[in-house]
Amino acid sequence: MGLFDRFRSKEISGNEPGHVFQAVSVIRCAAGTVLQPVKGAVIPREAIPDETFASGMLGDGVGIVPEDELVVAPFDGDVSSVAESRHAVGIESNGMELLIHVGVDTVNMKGSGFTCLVKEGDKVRTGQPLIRFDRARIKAAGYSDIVAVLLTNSDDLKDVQCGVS
Amino acid sequence: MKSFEYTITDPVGIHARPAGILVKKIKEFASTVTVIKGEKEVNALKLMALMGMGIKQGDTVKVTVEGADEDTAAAAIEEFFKANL
Repeated sequence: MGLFDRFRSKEISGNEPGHVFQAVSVIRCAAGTVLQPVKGAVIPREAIPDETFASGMLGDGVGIVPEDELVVAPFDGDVSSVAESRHAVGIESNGMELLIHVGVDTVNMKGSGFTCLVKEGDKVRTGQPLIRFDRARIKAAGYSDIVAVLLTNSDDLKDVQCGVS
Repeated sequence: MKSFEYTITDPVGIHARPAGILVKKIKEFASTVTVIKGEKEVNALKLMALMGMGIKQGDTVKVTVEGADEDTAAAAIEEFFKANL
């Protein structure tokens, strides 16, 4: 059991002045807890407007309708992958493999509107900024800016519960 | 063990959606599927590792398939690469 199992939510301040929000836990499993990585309303995975995410093919999780433009680390962990187009990041901790994917079909934007603030192999702390994104540019490109937060190996993890507790 | 090489034609390479569909396809079989690009190789069921390889359009990957159903699995997976990647 990780430290964050004791929290239902945590104030996230990141490293940036003015970026403070109360992050609730969005996924819980035996291996640990995933806090929301971006400020906004949490929606069920099934409501993400993309069949690949909604169907659970990429793992179980939730969607977040962002009210902000900064993705932060939802737990202490290691950055396992960073998409070349900077719109998605993978983080691992205690056997959990988490994908945070900003927007739907945003791979087609080829990095425009996205700044990735970490690199593969980095150790990150809860609340540390990972990706900055431009919601106006995503909208202008015609895509949804919903952030998918998915445990890609949820099949291998025990007692996975998704949604705000 | 069966293997094939394939050069990616999808303009955005192996990103979330095709990787997810590939994993689902591989789960239909008992064989172990490994994707190799240069020095890097990953078990293709490891979605995050697969996406982390940063496979792009024009990259040539080698795919190995090993297990009891490797003949059918290799044929199906090669077909999948041609159709989706």
